[in-house]
Amino acid sequence: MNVGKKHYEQIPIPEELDRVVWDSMGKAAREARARHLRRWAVSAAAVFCAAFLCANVGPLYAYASRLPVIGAVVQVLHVGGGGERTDGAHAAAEAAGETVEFHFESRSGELDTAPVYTVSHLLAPNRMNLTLRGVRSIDYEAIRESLLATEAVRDVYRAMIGDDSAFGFVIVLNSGYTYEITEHADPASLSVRFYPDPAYQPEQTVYYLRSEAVPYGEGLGLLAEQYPGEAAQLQTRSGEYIITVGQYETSDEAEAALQALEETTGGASGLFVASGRADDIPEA
Amino acid sequence: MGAGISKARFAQAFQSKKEKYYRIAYSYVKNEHDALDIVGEAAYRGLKNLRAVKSPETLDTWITRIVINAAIDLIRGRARLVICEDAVLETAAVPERDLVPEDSLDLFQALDALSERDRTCVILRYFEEYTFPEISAVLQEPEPTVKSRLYRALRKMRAFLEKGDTDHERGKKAL
Repeated sequence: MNVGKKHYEQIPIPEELDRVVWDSMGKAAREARARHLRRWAVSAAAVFCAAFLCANVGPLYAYASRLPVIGAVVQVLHVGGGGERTDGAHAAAEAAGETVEFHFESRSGELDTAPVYTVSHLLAPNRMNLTLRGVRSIDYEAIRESLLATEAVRDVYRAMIGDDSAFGFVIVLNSGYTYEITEHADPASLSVRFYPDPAYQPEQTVYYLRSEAVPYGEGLGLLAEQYPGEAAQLQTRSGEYIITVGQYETSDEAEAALQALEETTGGASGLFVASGRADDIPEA
Repeated sequence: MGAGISKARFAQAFQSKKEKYYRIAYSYVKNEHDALDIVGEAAYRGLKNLRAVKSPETLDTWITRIVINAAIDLIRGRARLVICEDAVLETAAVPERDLVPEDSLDLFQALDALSERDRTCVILRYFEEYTFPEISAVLQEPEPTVKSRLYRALRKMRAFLEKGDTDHERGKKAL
């Protein structure tokens, strides 16, 4: 090796390098934000307020301070939803360790606020359901690969949604893992961080309402639409899909929920009570 | 936006190669404080001008160019001098064998003898092992020009080091 190249490779890397890079990028992001705020003072102020008013911010909020200082933190949540109505957004994702970042763009560039999204966490199996609305296209392969690149994710598949501006993902987690979502604005992103949950109980049994298994297709989407806001889609071991509604700690609670549902549907809900341990995937 | 590079992706790309950018910066200024300033400035400029990236594949080349420009700006700012342009280059074909430095030639030490663009060629070619097309993309110059720069740079560096040796010998004799 050339003696000069050897000297070059031996240049010591200072410990401050990481901080200097983040500080500089943070400065650029803050300046961009300041410009944005001047233009959109009212709406941006609402975004910042949301960061402090949101009741769904958990003890892991501190994690957000370790994220790249790109974009204002709007909220940190485990279940619920957020975002603002958009139309025609494109979604893609990138993985960095155990964090997967969804980012959103329109034809005119990055979105300032995330599109409307909802997230729920269910067991049997341990999974996260993420739905994005107001999104016209996604890079599904990038999203799937990014999620599967983490230690936490066991499987990823799409939920069938009839609305062509909505995309749903079922993200099945390995035993013992959970997640938190950090929503950023300016630019918009959703960072999903996966981490081991010390309180996770793999032996825990949960009860839920479910449908018969159907093939993946429009019929599944139509079935899900019968239970708006409550239904989750789940792939069985045989590769077919079922609709699940609710999650209960006891069989009695599940039976009561089914009875209430039957009363509203004239006894034609088509669902029945099922149960499983935290990591169980239904057979069929 | 030019190539749809998100700020998060830029941040990730920069962080993943920050040590390379630091070494390139250090090669220009040869001190830690200024090299950190250069890398910080490059991160700042890069994020502010992200729309100028033409495609995701050129992101690293684009950042490298920003680092180099930031280094040159800092040197020029300190020098408070008008920097002379490089002499006109003859871009006659240079045989590849003439572009391979001998192992004993201390290219790192001899960088100080070079103009900014020649220095960039040496750093990217011999230290970062860029290909000629890659250097051509960073400098936005044709490949034959890049090769001519390297050929000239090697001659200059040899002369610089030989002169240093001679001066050193003279110093020893004077003692």
